[in-house]
Amino acid sequence: MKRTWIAVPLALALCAGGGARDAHAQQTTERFIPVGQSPGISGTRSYQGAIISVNLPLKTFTVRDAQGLRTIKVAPGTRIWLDRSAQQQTTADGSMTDLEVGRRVEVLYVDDRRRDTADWIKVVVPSDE
Amino acid sequence: MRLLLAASLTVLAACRRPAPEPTQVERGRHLFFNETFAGNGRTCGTCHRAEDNFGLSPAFIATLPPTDPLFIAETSPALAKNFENPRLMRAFGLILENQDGFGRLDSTFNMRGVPHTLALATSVSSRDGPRTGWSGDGAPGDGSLRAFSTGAVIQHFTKTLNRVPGVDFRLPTSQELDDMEAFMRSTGRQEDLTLPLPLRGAVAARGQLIFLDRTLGKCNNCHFNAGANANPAIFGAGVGNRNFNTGVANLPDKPAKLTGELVPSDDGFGVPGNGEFNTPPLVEAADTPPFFHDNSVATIEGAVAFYNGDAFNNAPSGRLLAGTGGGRGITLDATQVEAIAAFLRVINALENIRAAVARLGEGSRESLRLAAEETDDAIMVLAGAGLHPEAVAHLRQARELIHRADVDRAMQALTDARAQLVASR
Repeated sequence: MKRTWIAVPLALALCAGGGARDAHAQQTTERFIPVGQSPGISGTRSYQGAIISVNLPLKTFTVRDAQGLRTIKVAPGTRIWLDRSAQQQTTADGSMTDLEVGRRVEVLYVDDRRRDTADWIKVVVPSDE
Repeated sequence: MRLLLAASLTVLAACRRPAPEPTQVERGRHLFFNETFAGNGRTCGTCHRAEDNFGLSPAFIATLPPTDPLFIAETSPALAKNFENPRLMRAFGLILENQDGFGRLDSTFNMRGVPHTLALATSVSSRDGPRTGWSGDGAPGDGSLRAFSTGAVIQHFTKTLNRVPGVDFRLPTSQELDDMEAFMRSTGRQEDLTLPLPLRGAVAARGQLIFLDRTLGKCNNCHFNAGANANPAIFGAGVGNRNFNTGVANLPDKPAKLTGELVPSDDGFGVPGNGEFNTPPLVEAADTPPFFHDNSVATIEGAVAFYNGDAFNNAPSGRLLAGTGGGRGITLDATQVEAIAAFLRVINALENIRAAVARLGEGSRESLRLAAEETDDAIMVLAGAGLHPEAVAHLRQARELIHRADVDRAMQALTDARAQLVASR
């Protein structure tokens, strides 16, 4: 009885205020990984394709990938990175305005319940830019 | 003559037979210790040294030549600034990490110790996903141990701070990630202990009782069976590893900060961090000092005593423990601190003996060397607190026998040492 009395409140307390549950991946080194090469993400939990349209006021854009068209929201916490590895240059921070029609992107969606919202977006900067 | 010819052909055929394909673990081991990924010369083994229990202590660093790739920041002009802090590396074994981003390299970074990779097979999984590195979020991609190597190459192997794949390093292939993960999971213990153990030493046995006592030591709540996982009786079945804010960041007089070097506060898991850090396994603790994510405590006794202090008891985890009764999270007297430390020393020595016996069974020269190191560690952790002198005598004998490659008698001496520490069940 005594053990239960101790264990139950401890479990409740630590579960309520304890460890975080999401985002175990370290995003800071992720920025340097080129489009299509993120381990465990590319090809499984991300979309890759070309931008078909952009709606800046609504903060959405549409990508055509192998499965068809996907419209994706850019949330306040969405990170946008410019993949310039083709130019042998370091990754740069990007913004919504870097989502240009025709550019190739990779989008990690937030989770299975929010597949229409981007966690991060990598934008391939063409070699001629 | 015909017989001689046949024998010669047989020998020739044997010589021509290709060497057996290396196993995945062997391939992973080779990559871990030899592959630089076209970077600055470092390998995974540069920091996770097999000779230093897959970690990196200041004492070991002091034995390395100046040309060792660990010191690349001292020899490569491109990495002279904002890549490492050589003074803190040499004095405290601290490595520079950019968990909070690469935007302001001169002011935004963490200085962390190198966690050993032993027993990873027991410690990486959690109900909430994989946990890697000191704050549980050390890997890019899907956050898995497999993906960890990619992040490590980007952080530690780069030739310049531009960190451009194909220029400053190459990223590991999918196959290489698989192989290195297999190797990392193969090191050390493959399963947790089942406590209590029938320990023979009175002090260690008392330490074990305090460790398990939910109203006194409370250690088993988060380090279940002295491993890295939380107690399923408290946190639920399958909880696995957890992060906690134990207040290490609030310790006063931390050695690295005393130097006057810039050591920004480390906020742990996430960006911005929530102050939580990963729970490491304790079985391997006693021979892998210094302790905590910032190497702020040098001895196992000091690490236990940390939970007695204000930094822990005023931290979220300490306050939550206090809320379950007793008014304060953990309060131990000096004898109790030493008893818990003695328990940790003894279970570490038992693991050293298990590993040494396993190494001796492998039969190679390299495995003999590693068995000797495990035996040395067992001697160190026991003799360091004056524990079990009879066991230490057997271990010293085993050490001598390993040196002479007398494997059978060395195994017997190790078995005799073990029998001094724990009764057979």
